[in-house]
Amino acid sequence: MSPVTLDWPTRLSPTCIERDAALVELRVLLIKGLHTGLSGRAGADEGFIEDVAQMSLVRILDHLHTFEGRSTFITWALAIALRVAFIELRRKRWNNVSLDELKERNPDLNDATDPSPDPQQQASRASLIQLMHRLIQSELTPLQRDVLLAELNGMPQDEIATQLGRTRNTIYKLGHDARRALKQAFENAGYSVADMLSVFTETSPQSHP
Amino acid sequence: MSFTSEQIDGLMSLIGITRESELNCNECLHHVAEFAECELTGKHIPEALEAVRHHLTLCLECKEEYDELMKVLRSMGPAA
Ligand SMILES: [Zn+2]
Repeated sequence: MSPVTLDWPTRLSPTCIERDAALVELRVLLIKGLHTGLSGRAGADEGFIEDVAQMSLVRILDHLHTFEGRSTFITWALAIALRVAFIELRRKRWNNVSLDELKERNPDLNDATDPSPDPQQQASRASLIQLMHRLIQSELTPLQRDVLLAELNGMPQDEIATQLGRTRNTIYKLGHDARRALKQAFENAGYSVADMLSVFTETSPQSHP
Repeated sequence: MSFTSEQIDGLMSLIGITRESELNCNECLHHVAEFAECELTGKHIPEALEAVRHHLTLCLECKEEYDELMKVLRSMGPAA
């Protein structure tokens, strides 16, 4: 038998006689990659990986026409499989948490401690936090505020999308619009981004939600 | 609704790197394989792919997936 010379998209196309063999081969590669990528993750057992590989194959076939050959096919397929896997893992972790619970969970800003030992730095920080709080209320829509709160609490975008009945792209756009609106409002209030970051990155124990 | 001090810190950092135009998560996924292979082989990142790097600094979910993709690619060796 001659060695395989056809490219993956051709082999996976509905009319190719190699399609079944290609699907089996791709599934094995995905499972191997998922084992490596998900090793040590809670909930990523053998059954989970098999299910994810199957869901990924469906998605890969659905999106075959979008593969442009800018990377190897396997890297492209693995990126899709990992997206599918993490969506499922995050769903398992977050499906018992509601947005309403997150709103109730958040303490008032006045209770927040200030990590800076410098009184002047504390004052700058406190005034910026107050301004931020005001701008969040005045510049953002209720939906943008909900998305922002959920994101800052670490809720995955897919879960926010499900709970709000939107798509993940819409959730990203709502968060992006909220950040842009706040950035503009700070600049209108006379603060540059550099000013804000100098106050916050010097005192902040973590810089990401 | 209120935000904690740590959340405000995180938000300030995100606002600091916010751009008018950004990739969303699907657009990031569309380009991330090419970006990962460039990073892996030390190839120059084309201007068009810089938006992927930017998205990965903003989006913890895509970053988590990207980190694992890199781990998988490294485990497969140069033939990947
Ligand atoms: Zn993303």
